[in-house]
This record gives sequence, structure tokens and C-alpha cells, in this order.
Amino acid sequence: MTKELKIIEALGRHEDDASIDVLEDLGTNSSREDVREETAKALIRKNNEKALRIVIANKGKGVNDLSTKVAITTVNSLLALDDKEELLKIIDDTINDNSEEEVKNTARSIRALINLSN
Amino acid sequence: MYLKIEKGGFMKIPSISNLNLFRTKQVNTINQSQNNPFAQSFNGGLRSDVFQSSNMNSTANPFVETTANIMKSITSTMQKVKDYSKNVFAPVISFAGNVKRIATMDIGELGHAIKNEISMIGVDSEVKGYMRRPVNELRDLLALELNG
Repeated sequence: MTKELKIIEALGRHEDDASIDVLEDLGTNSSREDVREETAKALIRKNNEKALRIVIANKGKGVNDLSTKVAITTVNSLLALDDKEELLKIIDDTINDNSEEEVKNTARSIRALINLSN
Repeated sequence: MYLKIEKGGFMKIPSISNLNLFRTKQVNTINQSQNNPFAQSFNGGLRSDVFQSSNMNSTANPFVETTANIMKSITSTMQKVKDYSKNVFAPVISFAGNVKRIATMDIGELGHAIKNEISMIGVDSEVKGYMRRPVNELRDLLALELNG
């Protein structure tokens, strides 16, 4: 694991919520696929509203990433969460309120996968 | 001098002077052995050159070899004691510090701390190091790494 990926993991485990902003600014906007992938995992590990909203409700980030690899890794990490309460709430909000139809459809797909995996 | 033995007959035994000669001859024979420090002690103490560095490495000298083995064994034991202290006592001291910290926590804090510790099992030590640093420092570090 490279130094930048270790820093991203540390930010994902950091107690300070300001780490979410750093992950969003530097991680999800990186041109490197491995950095975006690790960032999505780090945000999901936080399992709070702010972090999960970034990977679900934003076009081009997390599950909506243009890279299939990043998107699938993000979906798998979401499905692996033990506590999905916050996740389901954000998915429902996205399906109901998001302005992007593509983002809504992805959220619906994830909702279906969660229902199937339960 | 003769000694009478059973069933008749006599056996010749060496005279005192012969015994002395025999003993002197034995000592001389031992002294001729260059590699035997015990033999050299017959001539008034150990030879100083036995303890010279070149001889300390000599595998032909049993005395030096034994001393070297004892020294090796002592060094090895000392190292084991050092390692044991490092591996056993240090965590115990750290644990004692944690106990003091835990004693001042309420139940909620304790639960959170335990959950935290469990989630940290298997985490890379370098990652743990970064986690102890403030977020703004990590931002600068990450930016530096990503942008070269």
C-alpha cells in the first residue's frame, strides 16, 4: 500500500469529522482510480450521513463514478456494512429528492441489491 | 626390589629413583604439547600467549574454546533477557498506563474506547501513526503525495 493510500485509510478512521472534507476534496476528485477507490472505502467506513451522502448522491463520485471498478468496489463496501440504517435513509432521500435521474437509478439499484442480500 | 606374589614367584617393582625418573619423563611429555594449557601450567602458571587474541580464536585449544563458548552463552542469555524486557515489560508498563486512563472513564467512554481498540486490530502501524496527526496536517501530506 502506498503512502497516499495509507493517509486516506487514516483519514477514514480519523475521529475528526473534518477528515470527510479532506477525503471529498482530495480523494474523490483525484484522477487516480486507486485513490478514488480507497477514498470511497474510507468514507463508507465512517458510516455517517455526511460521508455516505458523498458516495451515493453525487454524480461522478462513489457508486456514480465513471470507472466501473470504483463504482463496483463502492457498492460492495456498502453491502458489507453491518449497520445499514443510515445508508437506507440516504438511499431513500436520493431516490425521492435527487435532481439527477442517473443518480436516482443507481440508488434504486443499490436499494434492490440490499433487499436481495438481506 | 621384588614383591612376593601368590602361587610362588616374584615380581620386580620399580625403585624410588625409577619412579622419580618416570614422573619427570611424564611431565616433559605433557609440556611438549603446544596446544594444551593445562600441560603448560606445570611450568609455573599459564603461558601469557595462550590468552593472546590469535589464540582466543584457536579451535585447537580446548580451554580457550570452552571460555569462548561460555562467553557466547552469557552474551546470548543477556540478549534474551533484553528481548524479554522489551517484549514483555514494555507492554505491561503501557497496559498499566492504560488501566490508569480507563479508571477515569465513564461507561459510555469505555464502550467507545473498547469498540475503537477492536476496530484497530490488524491496522497497519503507519496508518495508526497518521491517525494520531491532526486532519489539516494529513490534508497537506495527502496533497503533497497526490500532486508530487
